[in-house]
Amino acid sequence: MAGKMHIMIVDDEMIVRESFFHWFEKRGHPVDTAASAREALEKLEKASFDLLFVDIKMPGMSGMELLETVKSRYPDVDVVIITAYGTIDTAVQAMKMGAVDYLLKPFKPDQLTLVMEKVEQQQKLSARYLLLKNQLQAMTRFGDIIGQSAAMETLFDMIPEIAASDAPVLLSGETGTGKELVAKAIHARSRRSELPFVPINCGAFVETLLESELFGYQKGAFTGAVHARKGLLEIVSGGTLFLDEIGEISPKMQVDLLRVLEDKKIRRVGDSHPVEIDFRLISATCRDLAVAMASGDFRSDFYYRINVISVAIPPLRDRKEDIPLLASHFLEKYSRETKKTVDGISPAGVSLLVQYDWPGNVRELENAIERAVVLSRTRNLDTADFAFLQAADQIPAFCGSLREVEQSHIRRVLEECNGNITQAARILGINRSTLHKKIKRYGLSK
Amino acid sequence: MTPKVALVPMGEVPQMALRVIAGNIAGCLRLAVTILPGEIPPAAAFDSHRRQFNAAILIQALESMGRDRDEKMLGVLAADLFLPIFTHVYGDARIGGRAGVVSLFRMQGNTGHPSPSDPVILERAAKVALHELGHLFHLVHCPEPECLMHFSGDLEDLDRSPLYFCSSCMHSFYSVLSAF
Repeated sequence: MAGKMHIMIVDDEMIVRESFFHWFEKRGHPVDTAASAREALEKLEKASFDLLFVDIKMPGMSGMELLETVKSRYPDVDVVIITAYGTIDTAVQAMKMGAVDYLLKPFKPDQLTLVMEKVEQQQKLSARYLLLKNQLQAMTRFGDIIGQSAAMETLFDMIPEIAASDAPVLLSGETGTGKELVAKAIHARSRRSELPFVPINCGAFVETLLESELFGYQKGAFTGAVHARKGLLEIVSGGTLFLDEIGEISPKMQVDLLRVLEDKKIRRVGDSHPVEIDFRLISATCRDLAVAMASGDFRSDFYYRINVISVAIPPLRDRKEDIPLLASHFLEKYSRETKKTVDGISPAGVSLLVQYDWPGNVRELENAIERAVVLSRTRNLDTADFAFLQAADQIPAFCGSLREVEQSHIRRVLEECNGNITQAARILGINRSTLHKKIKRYGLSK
Repeated sequence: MTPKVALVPMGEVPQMALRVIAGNIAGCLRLAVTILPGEIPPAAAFDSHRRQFNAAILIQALESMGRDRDEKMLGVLAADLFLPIFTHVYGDARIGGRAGVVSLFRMQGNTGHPSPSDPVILERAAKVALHELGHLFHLVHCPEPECLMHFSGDLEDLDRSPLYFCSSCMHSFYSVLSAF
């Protein structure tokens, strides 16, 4: 954890509370105490805690009941049970109910140290698990950054230098140019590389949702906040935060993030307890933020705070010499993935790819190669395999309903795939059963 | 004004141990140390079931002795100490408190040298005394293993610990001193 754990001691004996309190105080942890389960629940409503030490035997609500309530309302909060010798069965029961460990009173001082190390390790693993889960979901289909053009060579030279610093970075470039790949490359070469890389697309959230995603929230902070939840600013914990589409965030969020960057502290939504945080910020935008700033859409103080190091990533049409190399890389990747023997692209095919403007940049090129590999029946891709690119340029504006557009698009893809449902579903990005339903609905079956 | 330290023997305590602790406080922390006449530990501090003294009650007794407020007091016992949650403690002190306690009871460990004048035992006692004094001067446990303020869970840890603070803790210590 970047900061010290916020701990609460729940025990009806004052001397026990005090002993724990002073021990944790010496370790620099913020500590709170509660003389009963009821008082503990009241404190949990008002502030966020990382760890509770709970005595099993207490008048009123027992420690076991408190454990059950805490694990259902605040699943992120760890609980260590304190019990006396002779009640080992209860302690084992507590572990089954979700307690992270137990202590039999009285215990050796170093046992408490071991429990704390275990809890810290467990909390690190939980944060790491959450992060990996998020990253898997957000994983792009891109491999490493590829290019040998002068523009990319300059970028490759800059990455290690940028990685060595801890200053905020602003990446600018059109959609599909690989801004997140550059951000990952900077993170991977930085001193934070062993720590999380947390990406978030600011444009994908409405303001309130983005706020709770970034800052987390306390239980009951808003309707639907059934459990307290850590935000990405806490989960990043010493790593790199990648804010994509930073130009889309609201003026209020700009102010909130500016404060975070200056204070290095956050408060969860609905919580007054500040949490210290540490991360490196990399932002990305496809907008011209200088123009947005001039028109008053983007705050100048926030702009200068996030734009300490500025990196412009060129569009693919400005580095056409990289297209054969990229195409070859994606060809090898998708031949392997689809287990099809597609060895190369004919000179005419390469020429066609180089001439095309790629408004969707590298991402569009990757999709085009994947599609061509999936549909190809020969070992070499040729111009015919990329006919859809020219067709895309020539498709007339189609003014129909959404239903008509979908029907027409599915028909065209099915024709290209000669009725192969698996291939068509893959290109359309839907599963086979969904495609079958749509074929039936639109009467497309022959 | 530089604060002073008073060592308070509680019960029968070997003079050699008191002199070594006093010498190390004066030498390592540059503080004036007085060894006070012996005090009988309050009966309320003794737990007859555990046959140990409650460190928290001894600290309260020392704080109520009515000494100069700028003086930090360190009680030294030959007997064993405990806190209600722990089986034993080598010493105890509150962060920024006025008084702390140190026990020589477990310093002997399994060294096979039972003499109270054994240099290893005396060095351990001096380390615990300096560590608790550090707490009285607002120092918390230090993550740096090469620092006397690093937590020692057993005698092996204590023997590995140096007889000095790391530069960061020393800096904090002098910052607190300058505020006196």
